[in-house]
Amino acid sequence: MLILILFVLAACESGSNEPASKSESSNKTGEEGTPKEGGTLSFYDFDDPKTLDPHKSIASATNSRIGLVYNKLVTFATGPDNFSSDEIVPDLAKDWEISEDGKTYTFHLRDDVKWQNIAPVNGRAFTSEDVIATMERIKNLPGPQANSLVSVESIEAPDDYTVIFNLSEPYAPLLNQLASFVMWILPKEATEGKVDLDNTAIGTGPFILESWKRGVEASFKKNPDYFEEGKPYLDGVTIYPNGDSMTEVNAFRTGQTDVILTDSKIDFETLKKSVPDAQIQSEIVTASRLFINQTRKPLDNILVRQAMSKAIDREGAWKSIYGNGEYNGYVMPTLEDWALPLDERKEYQEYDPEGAKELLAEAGFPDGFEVSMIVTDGYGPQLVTLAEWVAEDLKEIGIKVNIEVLEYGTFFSERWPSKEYDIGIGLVTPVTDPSDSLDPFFKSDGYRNWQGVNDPKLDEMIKQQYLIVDRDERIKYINEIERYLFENVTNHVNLFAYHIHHFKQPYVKGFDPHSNYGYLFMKNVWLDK
Amino acid sequence: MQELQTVEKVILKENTKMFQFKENCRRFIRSNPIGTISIGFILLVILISVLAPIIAPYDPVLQNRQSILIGPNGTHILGTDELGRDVFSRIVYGSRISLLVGFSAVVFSMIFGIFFGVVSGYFGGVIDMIVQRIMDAIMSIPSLILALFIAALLGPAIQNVIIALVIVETPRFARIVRGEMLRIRETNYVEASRSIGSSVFRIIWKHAIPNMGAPIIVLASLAFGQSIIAEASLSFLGIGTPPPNPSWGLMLSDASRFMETAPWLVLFPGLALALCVLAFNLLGDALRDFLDPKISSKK
Repeated sequence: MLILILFVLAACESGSNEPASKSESSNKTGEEGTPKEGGTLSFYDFDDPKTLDPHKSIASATNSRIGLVYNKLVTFATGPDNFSSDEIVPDLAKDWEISEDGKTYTFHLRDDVKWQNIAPVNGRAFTSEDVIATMERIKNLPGPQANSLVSVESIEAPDDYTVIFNLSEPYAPLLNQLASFVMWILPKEATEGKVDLDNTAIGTGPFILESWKRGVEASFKKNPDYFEEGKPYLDGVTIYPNGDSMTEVNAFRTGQTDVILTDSKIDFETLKKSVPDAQIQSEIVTASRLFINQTRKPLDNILVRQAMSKAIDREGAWKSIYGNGEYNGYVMPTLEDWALPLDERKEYQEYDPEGAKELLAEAGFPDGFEVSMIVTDGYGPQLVTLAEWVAEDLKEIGIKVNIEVLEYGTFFSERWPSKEYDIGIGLVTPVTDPSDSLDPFFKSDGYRNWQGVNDPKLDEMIKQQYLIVDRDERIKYINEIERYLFENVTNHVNLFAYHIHHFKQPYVKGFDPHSNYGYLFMKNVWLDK
Repeated sequence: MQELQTVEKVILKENTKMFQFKENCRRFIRSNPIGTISIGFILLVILISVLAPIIAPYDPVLQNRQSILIGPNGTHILGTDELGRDVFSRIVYGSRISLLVGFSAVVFSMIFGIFFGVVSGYFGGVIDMIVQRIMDAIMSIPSLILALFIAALLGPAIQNVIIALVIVETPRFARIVRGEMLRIRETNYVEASRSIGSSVFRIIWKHAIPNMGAPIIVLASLAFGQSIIAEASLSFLGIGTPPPNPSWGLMLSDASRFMETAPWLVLFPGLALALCVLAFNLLGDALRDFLDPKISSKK
């Protein structure tokens, strides 16, 4: 246990990222020796996605398959201490300028980029036309990604290697969102329907998608024409869709896979014991929450929701189920600069069953009531255990909870979006810009507002923060929004953030994960064997 | 006077039945020691499930958060699980769910099976064709997969598991009952009853059903064991009994993650399940041997 605590502390420290300079992040292999070429890296990942089309699905599974194939205009810095870095570095654009008034973004593109040599693109040069075609597709397809370009009025290409974005009003998170995983740049041919984007991917990235067998594996091979000299180091990458945790653990133990990712305390301990020389990296990536359908009575009463929040013993839950954890806010602590200070998050969410009972009595339910709770086992068994924990806590203050364990598809695509539930337990997606964790969930018309939050003042505040271009000012304002959510909305109820552990075989080098989906760092990975 | 005679008759009848029953029991115990042990074990399980609140030292869903994943010891004789719940109490209460599912599934599928079997066997012809082809269709799908499908469709709840199992088990009863019905229909006593003008209902109720008891009892015993294991399988796969109810299958499913670190979690519910199902299967075998002298003499 002591070791675990020390370990968590160490991990927290490593999470505090200083913005690394570009040269550092691209040249970080120095300390690990000279990279060797060759070898194939294999690991288990999320379940197979429905489609590989980046603009049809924001699913992590889609992005983890295609991230190796595509590039974006700009991307996030990756490196040993850069897990949640929001520092933007060049990708297809070699540099860029933002006008004084924040309404014009000019990107200068690399002129040495070629598409992968696959029909119908056949290795032609990448130009500004591809960028424009991709952006048009994003704007025209329905879906959350179009949101990012709402304030973009027009995009023009004065020549083959320059792209200009004209905005109607300043939009603070634009660069961040262009660097984020929905903005993969497709070849022009693909946007014209000449490529089967659901099942294949042709990009400019370090790896070529060789084959994708649903339910079996996605295999990638090195792109010999990749624009960064000498990269990637690996000959190939193989991604298996997730099996049950025992299978994954055993595959890693026997060396069949090179990396494994787990959030389970028990797997963590098993792996630590059975593969003692593995490299371990733990990062706060994910968080759980209790979402409440406030279109139903008595859950529309804020006192009831606050009582629920007070009733939950968060620290106890994370200690016994995950072995680690941290008080979470409406902006996750992965966005270190943007999240509320830890003390404040803790203050808002202290365990206080007596206070909860009082609140419930004040709301007119001294004897409690009965609700049903939806949860899925699609994220692994821990979440169901957590649901049982929360149900017990709520029972303590008189709220009887009936748990319904649903299959992932029913949970995520049916019951939750159509508000056919009382309360539920789910996860929070990590984001790279704070607005992404506010706008979709809490604006009355947010695309993932599946809780029925409807607060005009909050809507206005969320709209306002987009217009603040000064970073420090915006941080202050976002903090205000978060406090407002804690005090006046309390839906969802945050549970806690916790670690995901990466175990790497001792010979795996340069595997430095980043919270944004798509394995941005894979070009830097090499095998020392 | 007439009344007295009737009463006497009834008493006499009771006595002979009682006597017969006792005689049968004695014969069964003598010829089938394994079957006897099975019956004893099943009675014990029934007793445990009825007296669960007295036997179990803890509430089966109570989370003792100070003692999580503790091995068997003095306070928790079979240890605790990942939320600090007492494993022994959960197994004790779990027997209720297993028996409830087994019993309901068997009783309902027996009722439906007898109904369809009798109708199909007695009337024959087109009705027989239709009923039997539907039963064939259900039986052509592996039973666990069909149960999986139905339970997944209806959502995780105990009553849905029972519905799924009833649908799966009914054809087996219907098939056997139909065969018996075909045989009985042609017997002399049915012929006699029919010739003095008995109604169809009377023939079925008074002559047919009481005479097909043996194969139905054997099948019921086997189906009971199968239903228990099917409930556990469905719960194991997450579409049976919803948590935090202490179903044995659910306990095994949770425990599979802790196989290396907390083996008691998988050992004891697994043992309970295995013994229970074994008892029902052995009882089924024993009953078959006992009720069908042809088979037992062959052995």
